[in-house]
Amino acid sequence: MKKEFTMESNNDFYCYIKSNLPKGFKIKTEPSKSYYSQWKFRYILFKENEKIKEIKGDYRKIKNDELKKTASEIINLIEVK
Amino acid sequence: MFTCWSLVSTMLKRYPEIELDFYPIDKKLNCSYPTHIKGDELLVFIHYFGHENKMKLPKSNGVILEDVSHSITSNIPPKGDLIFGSLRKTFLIGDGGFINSYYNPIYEKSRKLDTWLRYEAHDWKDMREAENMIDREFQIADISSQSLEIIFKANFEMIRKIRQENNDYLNEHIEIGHPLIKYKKNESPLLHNRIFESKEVRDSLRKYLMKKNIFTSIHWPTHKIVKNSNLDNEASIWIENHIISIPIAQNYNLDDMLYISKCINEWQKT
Repeated sequence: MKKEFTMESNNDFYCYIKSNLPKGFKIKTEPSKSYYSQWKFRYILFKENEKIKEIKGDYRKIKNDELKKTASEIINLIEVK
Repeated sequence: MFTCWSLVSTMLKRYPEIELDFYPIDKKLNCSYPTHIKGDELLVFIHYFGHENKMKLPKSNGVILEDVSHSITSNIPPKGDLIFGSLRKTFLIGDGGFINSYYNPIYEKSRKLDTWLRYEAHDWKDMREAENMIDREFQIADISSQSLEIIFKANFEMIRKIRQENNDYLNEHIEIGHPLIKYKKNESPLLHNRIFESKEVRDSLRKYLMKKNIFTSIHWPTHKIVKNSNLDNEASIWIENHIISIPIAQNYNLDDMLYISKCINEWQKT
């Protein structure tokens, strides 16, 4: 998998995955429709339109580099698949 | 009192030492400014949604800041001490703002991923994600070359003309609610803001339009510090609960307006 840039903070997660996914994979964001909800996230990863993983939570409650670790796991998952 | 939530939020985050105070508006967006601006004070006023704010400004020994984020393509003579604005809303670009004065900041490290995402976006969800990213974490950064190119090529008169035509079309063809603002010929509407009889009616219509792939917004949700204050925020909250902001930007044409008005009129019959 070609990595165009490294993830520096949890806030980079969605862009990092979106920019690096190989053909056949895609990530979608499902942001909350309510206002003041910028901290809540829900990301869904697809392979050939089939949902393979869902990541959701609250950016305020993330511990350290939790999303960076999740990003590595996703990359591994994709490379294995 | 009636302003973009992100402006309040940025002030709180970046300039906590500055004490914020708010002036009330009425349901027609008339502002009740304080009577005098002292030497160490600063007043911000806005030409709401591209419509000239004609309220008489108070006597001032301080600074009056004119926010033209909504009215860059309206022909409105400036009257503030300084003029500033965001360029994103009118020009549909990923980033950028300006102030008409000497400003030479030391930029902060930024990879501008939210800007990248805006230019990669295919739907409102990616746009919202980009907005959320910048609300969570932002840096003072230079404008991107992509955005600069769009601004250099922008035809202000054309933008104004298309926005006026789209807004006029909706004024004429939507059968329910009423427009918040009557624009003049020199003004470039930012959005078609429409007032509905109740929050329930408004919310039900928004939901219906979402199903029809029409993304509307609310201008503005009142910031919690305004909501919780003892100030006269009645009109701001009333507008928040009755308004729908419908897109009429220059990337839409009269066929799009026909579709929007048709959907709204259909909803009325359901």
